[in-house]
Amino acid sequence: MLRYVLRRILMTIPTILIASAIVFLMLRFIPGDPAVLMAGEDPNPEVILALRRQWGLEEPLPVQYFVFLRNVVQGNLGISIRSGLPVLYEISLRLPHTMILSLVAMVLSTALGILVGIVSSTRPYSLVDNASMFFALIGVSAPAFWTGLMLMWLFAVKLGWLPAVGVGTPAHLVLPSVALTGFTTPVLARQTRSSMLEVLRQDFIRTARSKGLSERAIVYGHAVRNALIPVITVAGISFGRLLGGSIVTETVFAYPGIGKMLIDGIFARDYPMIQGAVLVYALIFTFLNLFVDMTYAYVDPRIHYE
Amino acid sequence: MTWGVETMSQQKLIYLKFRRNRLAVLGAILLVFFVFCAIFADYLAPYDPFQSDLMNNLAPPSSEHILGTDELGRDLLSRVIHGARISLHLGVISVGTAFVFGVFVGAVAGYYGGLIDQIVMRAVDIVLSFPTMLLAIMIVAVLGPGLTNAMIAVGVSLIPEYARLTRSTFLYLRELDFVQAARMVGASDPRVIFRHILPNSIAPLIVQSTLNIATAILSAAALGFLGLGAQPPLPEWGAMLSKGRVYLMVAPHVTLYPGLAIVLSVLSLNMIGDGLRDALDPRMT
Repeated sequence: MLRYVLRRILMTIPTILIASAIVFLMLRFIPGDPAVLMAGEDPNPEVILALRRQWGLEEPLPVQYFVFLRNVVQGNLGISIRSGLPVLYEISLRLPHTMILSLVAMVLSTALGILVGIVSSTRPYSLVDNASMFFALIGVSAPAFWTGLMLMWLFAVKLGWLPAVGVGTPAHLVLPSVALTGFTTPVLARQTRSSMLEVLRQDFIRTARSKGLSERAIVYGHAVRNALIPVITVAGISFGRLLGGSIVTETVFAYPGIGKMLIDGIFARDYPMIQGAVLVYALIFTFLNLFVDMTYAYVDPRIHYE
Repeated sequence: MTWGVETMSQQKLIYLKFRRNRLAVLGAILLVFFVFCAIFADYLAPYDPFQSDLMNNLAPPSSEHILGTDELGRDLLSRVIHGARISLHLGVISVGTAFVFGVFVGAVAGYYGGLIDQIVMRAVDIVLSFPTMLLAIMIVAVLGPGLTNAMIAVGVSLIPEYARLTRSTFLYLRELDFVQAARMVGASDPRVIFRHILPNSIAPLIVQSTLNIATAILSAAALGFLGLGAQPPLPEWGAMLSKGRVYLMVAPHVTLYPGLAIVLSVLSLNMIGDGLRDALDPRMT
């Protein structure tokens, strides 16, 4: 197990390197001088010269990439054009917000999705099953930004129960996280249902039934654990989509996270900020995938750790 | 002598299975409706979708304007109808592009295997570990906002999925007897790939494409909403939502209807995709 974990951690290194290379090349693909782009709207020749030196822009591309990596490892992500503050500092202000929102949405959608999936699978083709699967289909079809706006209209504008935008109290988290779960919950519910149906047909379940175990013990003791393995894979993929969706949801709810920072950065042509935000997302995704693989190995004893 | 059931062709069987699925049929009807709107938008729309009427802006739904008017007094129904044209066009073009490139890459990787396969699949895995949305936003950040760039961004972000799917079916099919036989009689590699393997791997690709058009419409609408996709005054559903949300307090209908159009069109494609998957899966009876 330990060797597998170590190997899997080592495998993140090429992923991170390639992701950072993509981020690095992004700025070079944009027509124009990267130093002028990084200096902002009103470039001072001295600032541009300093930036050229600092990022090694006179050197060949591979050397530039090396300098970029060195700067990033040292925590130097450049200075935001818009605020004049270091990008790393700007990230440190926003990352906790994004993490909290995503974690709440992930926990909420996992719990709800698996529960609905289990309930549906134990009563296949019943009214409960058909209704939840129909809602699940609508859930995957509705864009999170629209669901978010409709929730905002109902609960903030009409009913006045919850704050519409911003952060500060736990109440501020309710609408954005519910909007974010709108996609992940249905995906998990559908996957749980279909893999539960598959497991419930198998021989060991029949054996459990013939032993006279209660339905509850069969479903929760025997079936769920076996049905969850494919659900974890799907969860990993849909958490990725959830984080992608958080970029849009943060914008809808004026929620000061990394996603809003990315979008604001694009509009302000604040390239150091864009670079920083994308880099943070790349790191989050890499670790998310690592975490999913670890969980997978933990839950499924059939995975060999060679 | 043969019985009817046995002589039934594969296509007929698939069609019958699809038709038995009520949700899939409902999806197909909905999609036909949207395609109809897209093609005949110029005749169906009661007003010019660009004609503003500032005296009559943010008007609630009435007999004159069935869905009301937007912030510039433009007829919302006309704009939603014309939006169908933009969204469907965008979905088909971006998925078509992704299909061509992704299938080609996946076919080469799956057919030749070895080092090419290793390199291509490693790259695909890394790109797939980023969600489509972030990838699309990154591409638009480089190319600049706009409808065409949004289409490119969505298309490119869907390529890895096709590559992976095509590769896995090619890996399986290339070992089968009919492929070996074709090779044995001296068919060239492109001939084996395009004439023998590809036609047999088309079913999962069609299912995936239906679902991908749904994803593409959602992604493009999100880009439009963020202001990175279609630009005003184009009646793109996402962009309409982004303008309308400012007036959420006074005129929620401006946000409601374009969003409903997105949900219904994406829903129709998802229902068809699910139905096709069940119909094309030989394990389902």
